[in-house]
Amino acid sequence: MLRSLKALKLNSLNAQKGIRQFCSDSKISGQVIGIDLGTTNSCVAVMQGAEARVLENAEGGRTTPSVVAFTEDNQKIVGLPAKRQMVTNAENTLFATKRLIGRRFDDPMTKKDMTMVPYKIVKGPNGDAWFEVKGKMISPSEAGAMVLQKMKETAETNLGGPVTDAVITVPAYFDDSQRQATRDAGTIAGLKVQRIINEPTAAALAYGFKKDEPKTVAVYDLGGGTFDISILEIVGGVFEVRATNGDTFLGGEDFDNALLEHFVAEFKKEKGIDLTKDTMATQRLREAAEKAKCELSSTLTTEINLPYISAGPSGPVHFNMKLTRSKFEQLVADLIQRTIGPCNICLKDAGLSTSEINEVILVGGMTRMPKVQELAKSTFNKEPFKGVNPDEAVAVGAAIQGGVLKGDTKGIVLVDVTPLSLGIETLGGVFTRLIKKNTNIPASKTDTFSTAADGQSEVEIKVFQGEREMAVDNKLLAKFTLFGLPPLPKGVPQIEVTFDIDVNGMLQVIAKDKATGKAQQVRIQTSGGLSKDDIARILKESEANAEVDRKRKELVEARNNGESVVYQVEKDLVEFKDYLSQPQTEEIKKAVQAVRDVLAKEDGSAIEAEIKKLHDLTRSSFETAYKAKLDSSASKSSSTENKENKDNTTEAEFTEKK
Amino acid sequence: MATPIIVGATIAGIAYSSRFLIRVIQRAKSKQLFEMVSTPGFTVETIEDGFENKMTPAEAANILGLKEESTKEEIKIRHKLLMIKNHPDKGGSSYLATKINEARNVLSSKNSN
Repeated sequence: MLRSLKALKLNSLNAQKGIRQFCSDSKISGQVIGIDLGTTNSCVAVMQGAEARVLENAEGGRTTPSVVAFTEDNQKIVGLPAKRQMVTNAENTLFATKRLIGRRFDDPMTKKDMTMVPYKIVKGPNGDAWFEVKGKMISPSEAGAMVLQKMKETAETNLGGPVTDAVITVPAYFDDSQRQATRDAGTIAGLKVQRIINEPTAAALAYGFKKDEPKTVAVYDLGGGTFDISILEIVGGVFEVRATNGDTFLGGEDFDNALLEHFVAEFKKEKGIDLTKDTMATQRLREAAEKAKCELSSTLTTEINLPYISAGPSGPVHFNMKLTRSKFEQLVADLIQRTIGPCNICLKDAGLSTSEINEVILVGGMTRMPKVQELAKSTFNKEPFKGVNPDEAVAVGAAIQGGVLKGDTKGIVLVDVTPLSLGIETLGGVFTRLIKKNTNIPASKTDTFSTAADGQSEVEIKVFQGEREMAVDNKLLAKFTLFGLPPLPKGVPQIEVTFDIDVNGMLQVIAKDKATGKAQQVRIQTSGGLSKDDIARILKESEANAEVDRKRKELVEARNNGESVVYQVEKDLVEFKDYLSQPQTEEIKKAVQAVRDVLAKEDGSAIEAEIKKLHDLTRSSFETAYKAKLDSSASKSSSTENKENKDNTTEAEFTEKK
Repeated sequence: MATPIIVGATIAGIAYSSRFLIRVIQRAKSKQLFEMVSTPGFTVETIEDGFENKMTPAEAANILGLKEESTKEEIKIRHKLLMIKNHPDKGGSSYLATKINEARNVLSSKNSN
């Protein structure tokens, strides 16, 4: 146990002054893309000239659903295609995986999520929440990496070249584990993550870019899975966050679930059938709920029509229901109310009143809901600003930040804050803060602690993050032990603990015994749930999968080629049947059948070999046949000419008689 | 009946002019404060010692180039100016940025106004 030495601290002019070395990033050569990795949808943007541009994916959408699916033949699909097949393949389709990234399996939020989704959530090898799909274990970082890879491909297709560097956004209220896990996802996807920035800050960047007037803005960010509120001051190109707060488990997915529950309850009341027993029916209802939610933002009433939703004793049963906006608002009123608390706390932390806020910016798809807009208006006593696209602002801001890091964009600086207090556990289980919440980052803090028992030779240091006074009520980030303390009475050793938060909001902890002078030092990089070995293994598997994908593509192309060749050869056989000998015809037909047989197999090389064989065989035969046909045609033509000559001769004879 | 229109237009004109003037004055004041803090208070002065283990208000004031009794507004503006110059995003040192942030916190918590 450690005891605070603040009271015993002696100011000494001779105290050793530490000088830390910070390595700056190497120069970025390529384009830096900004990626908004959202719970429900993701978006990618890039700076082109002086403007940030959102890039469209292969399906033509400016946002891509954050959905990953594993099909019957073990193929992996991402985005809109994955979302489309969710109804028939719900157990093997992962969505809203951002809610579990960096979370422990025994986290209460994980328990809550398990009841809300059709896929399986299991305990990972390190105690984190992982997914199990077709008997295979997948970490949330890996699932996130698949989405990021899709965004990377989207960027590469649009920009016409390889993309390596990226700025990825996370919710402002993400803790250290969640940030680290998100960064790991970028690494697995083959991206060099230059920066992790907060979503509300990115949105403010998109809003305040090229605006000169000093402003204090509140960013109200209610997305698919998380809620963030940040208050920033924008002065002369400095975007400084004054305070931030939020809820990492509140968003559009919860609204969908509220509607889904309502639908199931109403249907059961009316028809006596429990649709939750049927996975496909539940999934269809979920889709309908999301669609209804979106429609009710622009209409006052909507109708849900799902024929053949289930089968009853008297035949098929259909789902048909009308839903009004007021009913929907009633169902989700408690969810919307939950956003008020963080807003008030944020205002208090920033030391501002609502009258000092110049602008309220709405970000995230859920802010399109009229009730949400009303609440934001009443909370801040201000009409919200609607000039920012809620779906794209975050990616645009990340792209601008990418431009800043590359050096192309001048005059902009982000000064963000750490959302939660950081500290260690001391005697009696008390949480002792070293860095308070809403401290500007980068930040560093050193404090001195001591032993709690005589002759103690080691101290265990537990790093926590949160706002509760007892350590166990907060989130444990890391735990390590400092060994080799000389045996001294309690309270005498001086253990210096340093917390360093970098500009990505990620923490590094150093503990050192000052007395021994031999720098007994432990430096720990907090784990986001995946160790370096895990990441290396996943990358290797990813390369293997890439190989499998390449082979599959070759097979498909070989099959297409084979079918084309077979069709052409059969057509030629019909055309040349009069000029080929019987043995030749039989031989060609045999070769065609061989190609047909091999098309059914999984061997692209074998298909290519058979195609080549058939091609070699038919080349000489058809060449001969073609010549024969040509000769025959020439012969007929010659006969015609002879006939004409004969006519001419007759005429000549007639002339002589005259 | 032209008189009410003229009167109305006059009142509107006065109102708009007042609003414009207020804005101009506010902006000028803000800019003036910026210049006032940044120009005379900053002198080229070499401090021989490195950073102390625990930052004192005196050291914080030295880092920001201010007096210990500076107002919150002055501290805020000075912090922003230094962050523009020293932020890691712009090739600055993370270590120095850390010190600037800490200096701002130390001085802000000391001065209540």
